[in-house]
Amino acid sequence: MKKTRSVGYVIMTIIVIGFLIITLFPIFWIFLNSFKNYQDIAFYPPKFVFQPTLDNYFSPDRLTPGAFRKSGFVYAIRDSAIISFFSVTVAVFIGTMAAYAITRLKVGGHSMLLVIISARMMPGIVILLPLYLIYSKVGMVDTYFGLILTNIAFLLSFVIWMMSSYLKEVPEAIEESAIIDGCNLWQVYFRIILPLSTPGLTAVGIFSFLAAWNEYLFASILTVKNITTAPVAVSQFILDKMIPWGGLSAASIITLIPAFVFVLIVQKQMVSGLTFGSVKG
Amino acid sequence: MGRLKMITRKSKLKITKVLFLLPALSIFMGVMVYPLIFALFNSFRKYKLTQLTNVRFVGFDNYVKVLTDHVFLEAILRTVLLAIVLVSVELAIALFLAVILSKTFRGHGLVRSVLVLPIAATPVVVGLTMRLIFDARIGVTNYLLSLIGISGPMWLFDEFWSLASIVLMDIWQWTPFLVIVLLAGILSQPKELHEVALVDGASSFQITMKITIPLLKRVMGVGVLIRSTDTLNLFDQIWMLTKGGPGTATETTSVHIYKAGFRFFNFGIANAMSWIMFLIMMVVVLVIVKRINLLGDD
Repeated sequence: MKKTRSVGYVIMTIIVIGFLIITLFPIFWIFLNSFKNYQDIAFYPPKFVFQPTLDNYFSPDRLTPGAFRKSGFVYAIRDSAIISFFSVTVAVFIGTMAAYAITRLKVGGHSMLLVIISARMMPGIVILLPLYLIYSKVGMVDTYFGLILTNIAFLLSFVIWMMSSYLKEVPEAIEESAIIDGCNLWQVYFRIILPLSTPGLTAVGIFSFLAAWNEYLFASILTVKNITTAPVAVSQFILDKMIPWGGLSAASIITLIPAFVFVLIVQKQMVSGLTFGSVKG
Repeated sequence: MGRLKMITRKSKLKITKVLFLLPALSIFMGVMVYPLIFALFNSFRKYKLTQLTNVRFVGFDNYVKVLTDHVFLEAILRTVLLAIVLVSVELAIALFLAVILSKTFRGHGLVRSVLVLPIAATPVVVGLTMRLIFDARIGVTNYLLSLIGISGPMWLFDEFWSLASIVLMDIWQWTPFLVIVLLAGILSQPKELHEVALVDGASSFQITMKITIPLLKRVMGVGVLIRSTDTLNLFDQIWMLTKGGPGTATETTSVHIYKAGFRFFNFGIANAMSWIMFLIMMVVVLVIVKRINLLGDD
C-alpha cells in the first residue's frame, strides 16, 4: 500500500516538473537567444551552448542595432511607461469611486454588474474602428491623451469589479459613525474608505499596469510616429526582407521584465484579480 | 430638521452619489458606448477610407455582403471552433494538473511563481517567440521532434499546422492561468466532506471524481467564461505569429476585421462584421453568466 502510493507520488511529481519545464522553456529560449550572435541564432541544430554576446542589447550596428541603441525602441519604453502610469492612476482613481458608488451607495444595482462584465469582454476590434475615425476627426490619433483615454476605458470595468469586492469587506459601521460625526460622503470616501483599501488598490493597480503595458491592438493603430509603445516597437523589429532575431529577442526580454517583476509581487492576489474576485486566492 | 432642509439634503446626497459615478460613466459612454453606436451607424453606410467622397447609406447591403462572404463566415466558424477546442483542452489539462498539485506539493509558492509568468507575458512577445520556436528551418520544435525520429511539419507554411501552432501557443500561455484558478478553488474547499468520504472507504480517485470536481463547478464556470471570451477576441498573438496566413487559414474574427478595416480601409463592411461579432459575444457572455449564476444572490 505504502509502496504504490509512493510510486504514484513520483509519477505525479514528474508530471508536474515536466509541466513547469514546458512552461518555462519558451521564455528561457528567447532569453538565451537574446545573448546569441546572429549566426548562432540561425544555426541548425539550435545551440544550447554558445559564446554569449551583449550585441543584441548594445550593438551600434545600423541595420541591426542592439535594442538599447535603436532609438525607436528606447522612446517606446519611455512612452509605454508614461501611458501605463497615467492610464492606471486615473483608472484606479475614478474606478474606485465608481465601485464605491455601486457597492455602498447602491447606484445602478444588478444590471450595472452585467454592464461591467460585458465591458470586460468587449472585443477591442469592435471599438477600435469607430474610435479611430473619431480620434482622427478630433486630432487625438498619435497622442498620449488618446491612448491613455482608451486604456482607461478598458481598465475601468476591471478596476470597478475588483474594488467592489474589496470595498464589500470594509465594515459599514466605520462609515456610519463618521457620518454621524458630521463627515460628508467625500470626507468619508477620501479619509476612511481609501486609506482602508490600500492593499486592494495596490493589487488592482499592478494588474491594470500589466494590461496597459502589454496592450497592442489599440497602440498599433492609434500611434503613428510621435509616440510608440513597447509591444508596437518590438513588432517593428521585423524588417521587410528579414527578421533580426537577436535585437528582437533582446527587446522582448526588456519588455517582459517589468511585467514579470510586477506579477511576481501580486501573484497571491492573482486568482481573485483575474476572476472578478469570484475565486479567492 | 425642517422638511425643506431634509429634501435639499436628500437631493444633495443623490447628486453626490451621481458625482462618484460620473467620471467613470462618462469615459465609459464616450469611449465604449458612443463608438459602438457610431459603428452601428457606419455599418449601414458605404464607407471606404480611400473613397471618402462616396460615403452614403446603403441600408442592409453591408450585412448582406458580409453574411454571404465565405471568408468571413469561415473566420467566425474557425474562431468559435478554436475557442471550443482551446477552452476544453486547457480546462482538461488544468483540472488534471490542479488535482495533482493539490495532492503533491505542500508549498505552492514556487510552482505559482513559474505559472504566473506566461500570464503576464506580453502577447506580442509570445507570438514572436513562438514564430522562432515553430520556424520550420531553424526552429527548436522540429529539432526536438527530430531527436525522437519525427520529421517535423512545415508549421507556419502549412494551413493545418499553422492553426496547430496557434492552438499550442494558446495552451502554453493560458493553461497555467486555469491551473492557478482551479488549484485555488480546490484548496478552498471544506476538508470535512473529503474526510467523511475517506472514513467511508472511498478511494482517492472516487473522492476526486465525486466530491472535488463537482464542488469546483462554479470556479470552472468563471474560468470558462474568461477563457471563452478571451479566445473569441484572440488577436495579438496570431497577428505576430501568422498574420492570419498562410492565405486566410488562421484568420480569426478579430484578425479578419482588422484587415478589412486597416488594410482594405473598408470601414462600412468592417463595422458590419464588428457588430455581428459583438452580438455573438454578448450572447456567449449572457449564456455563460446565467449558466454559472455569476451575478447570483449568494
